[in-house]
Amino acid sequence: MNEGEGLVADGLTVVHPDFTATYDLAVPRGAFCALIGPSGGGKTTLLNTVAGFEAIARGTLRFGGVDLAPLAPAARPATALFQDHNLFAHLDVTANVAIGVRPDLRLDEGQRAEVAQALARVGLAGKERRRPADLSGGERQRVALARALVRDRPLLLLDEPFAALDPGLRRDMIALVDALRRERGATVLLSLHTPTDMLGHADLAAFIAEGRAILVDSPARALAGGLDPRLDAYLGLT
Amino acid sequence: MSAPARAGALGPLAPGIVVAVAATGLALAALGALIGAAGGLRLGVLTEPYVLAALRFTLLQASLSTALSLALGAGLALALARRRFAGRALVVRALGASMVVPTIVAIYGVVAVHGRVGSVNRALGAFGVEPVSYLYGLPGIVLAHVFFNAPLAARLYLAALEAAPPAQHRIAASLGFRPRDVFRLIDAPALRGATPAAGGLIFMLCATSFAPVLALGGGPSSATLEVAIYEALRFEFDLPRAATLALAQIALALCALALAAFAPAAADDRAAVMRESPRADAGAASTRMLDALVFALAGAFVLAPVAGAVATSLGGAFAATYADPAFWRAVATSLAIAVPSGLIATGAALALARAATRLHVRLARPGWASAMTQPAALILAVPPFALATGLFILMRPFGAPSALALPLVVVVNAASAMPFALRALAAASRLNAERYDRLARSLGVSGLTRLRLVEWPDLRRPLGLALATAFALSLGDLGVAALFGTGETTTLPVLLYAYLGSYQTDRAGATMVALVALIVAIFVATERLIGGEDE
Repeated sequence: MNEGEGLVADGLTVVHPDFTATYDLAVPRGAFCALIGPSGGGKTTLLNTVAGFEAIARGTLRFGGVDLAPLAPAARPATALFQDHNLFAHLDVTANVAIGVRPDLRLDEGQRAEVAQALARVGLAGKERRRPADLSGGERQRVALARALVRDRPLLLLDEPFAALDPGLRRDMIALVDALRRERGATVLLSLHTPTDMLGHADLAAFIAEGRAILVDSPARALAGGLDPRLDAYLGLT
Repeated sequence: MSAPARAGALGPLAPGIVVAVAATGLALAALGALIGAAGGLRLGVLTEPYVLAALRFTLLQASLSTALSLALGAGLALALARRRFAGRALVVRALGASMVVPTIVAIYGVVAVHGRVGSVNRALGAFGVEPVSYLYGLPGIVLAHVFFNAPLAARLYLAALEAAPPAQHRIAASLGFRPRDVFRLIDAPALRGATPAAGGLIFMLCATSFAPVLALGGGPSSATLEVAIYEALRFEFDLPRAATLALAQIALALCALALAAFAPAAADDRAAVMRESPRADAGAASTRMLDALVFALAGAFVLAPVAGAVATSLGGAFAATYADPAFWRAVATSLAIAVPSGLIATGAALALARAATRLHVRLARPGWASAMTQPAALILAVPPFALATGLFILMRPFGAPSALALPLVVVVNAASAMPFALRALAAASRLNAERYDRLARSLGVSGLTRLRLVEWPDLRRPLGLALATAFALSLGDLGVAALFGTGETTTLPVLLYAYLGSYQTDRAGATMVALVALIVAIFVATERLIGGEDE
C-alpha cells in the first residue's frame, strides 16, 4: 500500500472560534481506520473537513494524490454517513438510495436495477416503499449504506453512524461496512464511541484528542495502553 | 475555504440580500422623503401638551395592555400545559388565529359586549341597573388589545413551557413536588425566559396600534402617537409635525424591539400540540380551580367579543347590503390589495428566511443571519402612515394621486405583513437546513432540485401558513387604506368602519359577516392548497 495514494492530511488546520485542530495523518488506500477519542476532541471535525463541510485554514488534504480543498462536497471522492438524518424523511427507501445516483431522481432501467441490487445487498429487499419513519434505526443506516454502495466513491466517511444501535446490531453493521470495503476496495474512516468495536475489522486506529491525531498501526496495541498518557486516560487505564 | 467554494456559497444569498436592502431602503427613503418634504423636523412639537399627553397615554395604555396580556397569557399557557381535554389542539391552533382577526371586527365585538347597549349593560338592566358607560377611553383600548395579545402571549408561553424536558416533570412527580414547587422550579424559569421577547413584541404592537385607539379612544384625552400622526396627515396635512411624531414613534418602537431582540428562538408550535407529558401538578385541587378561573377569564376577554360580534351580525341587512354595488367594489378592492401584497410579503420573507438559514447553518455566521432579518423588525417599527406618506411624496411625480393610492396600500400592507410571514418561515427553514444541508451537499442535490425534493416537503406547510396569514392581515387591515380615504382604497374594513361611524349597524353586520367569511375562506384555501392535506 502506497501512502501517497491514500488519504494524506499534512498540517491540516481547521479554526473554530473556541477550538483549533491540526491533523497530520496518512491512511493508506483500502485501509479501515477507526477514529477513537473523547467527545469534543475533533473526530467529527476531521470527518467534516474531509467531507468538505469545514473550511481549511492551513495545510493540505489529498486523496489519491488529488488536492481535495477546492472540491465541493459532492465533487469529492467520498460518501459521508452521519449519526442521524442520513435519510430524507419524506422520500421512501428506494428514492433515498436513488438520490445518490441522480439528485433529480430521473433513473433509467439500469440504474433502477442497481438501486434494487444495493438494497438487496444490505438486506432491505421487500422494504423499498417504506418511509424512514417506518424503519428501525439499524434499517435506516442500512439504507444509507446502500446509497454509499450506488455512489461507489473510494472513500467512506462514517461519523458514529451506529452509536445509537444495540451492541450486537452495531457489530453487525461494522462487519457489513468491512465486507463492503473489501468488495469495493474502499478506504474507510469510521469514528466510534466504543473503542472495542474496531477490533477484528480496523487496520489502523487514530486517537484524536484536543484537535490532534495519533495514528496507531494496530488497534489491539492501541487498546493495550502504554502508548500515550492521554489515550490511557481516555481508555480508563490509568 | 478556497475562492471558488466561497463564491458558490455566497451566490444563493442574493435574493435575500436584495430583499433586505430593498426593505431597508424603502423605509429609509420614505422617512427621508417625509422629512425632506417637511423641510426638516419641528422638534418643538414634542413638547406640546397634546403630544406629551399622547406620549404618556401611549406608554400607559401599552404598559397596561402588555401587563394584562402577559398575565392572562401566562395563566392560559399554564392551564393548557396542565390540562388534556377534547378540543385542546383546536384551542392551541385558535391562539394563533386571533392575530388575523380584523381589528375592526374585534372592535365591533368589544362594543357588542361592553358598549352602552352591549350585553353587559343589558344583563345589568335585567336587575334594574341603569346603563353604565365604561368602554370608551382606556378600558376599551385595553380590552381590544388584550383580545388580540393575550392569545399571542399564551402561544409564546406555551411553547416555552412545553420546551421543558419531560424528564423534569417525572422527577418532580417522583420527588413529590407540590404545585407551587413545580411552578417555582420548572414553569417560572421557562416563563421568565420567554417574557422579554413576548413583552417587547406585545408592547410594540400595542404602542403602535391604530384602529382600536381611533375607534374606542373616545376623544383627544386618549390619543396616542399613532393617532396624532394620522391626524397630522389626514386632517392638517402638517408634514413637519407628522415627520417629527413619526421619528418619536420609531424611537419608542425600537426600544420595545430591543427587548424582543433577547428573544430565544421560537419553539416549534406543532410540538406544543403533539406532546403528551403528564405533569405532577395536574391533579391538585388548587390548580384545578385556578385553571377553571383562567379559562373563564379567557372566555370573558377573548370569546365573549367573538360571540358578541357573531350575535350582533346575525341581525344584519344582508339582502340590501349585498345588492349594493359599493359592497362588491369594496370586495374587489380588498382582493386587489390583499392578493399582491400577500404574495410580495411571503416572497420577500422566503428570500430572507433562506438567506438567514444559509448564513446560520452553512456559513456559521449567526450574527449575520440575524442581521438579515433586521429589516423586518425595522419595518415593523416604522409607522405605516409615515411609510405610506413618504412613499406617496416620492412617487407623486410619477402619477396622479388617485392612481398611486392602490399600489401604495399594497406595498405598505406587504411590508407590515412580512415580519409575520418571516416568523412562520424562519424556524422551519433553519430546521430543514440543520437536518439536510450536509446530506444534500454531499449528494450534490442543489438548485431547483433541492428546492423541490429537500425543502418544499418541509416548507410547504409554513409557507401556506405564511401566505394565508399575509392575505388575512392585508384583507383585515384598517390603517393605510383609511388614510387615503378615497374610492380607490375603500376596502371592506373601510366600508365597515364607515357603516359603524354612521350608525348603520344592520349594514355593518352584513359587511362584517362577508369580511370574516372572505378571510376564513381565503385562509383555509391557501393553507390547504399550499400546505397540503394532513398526512
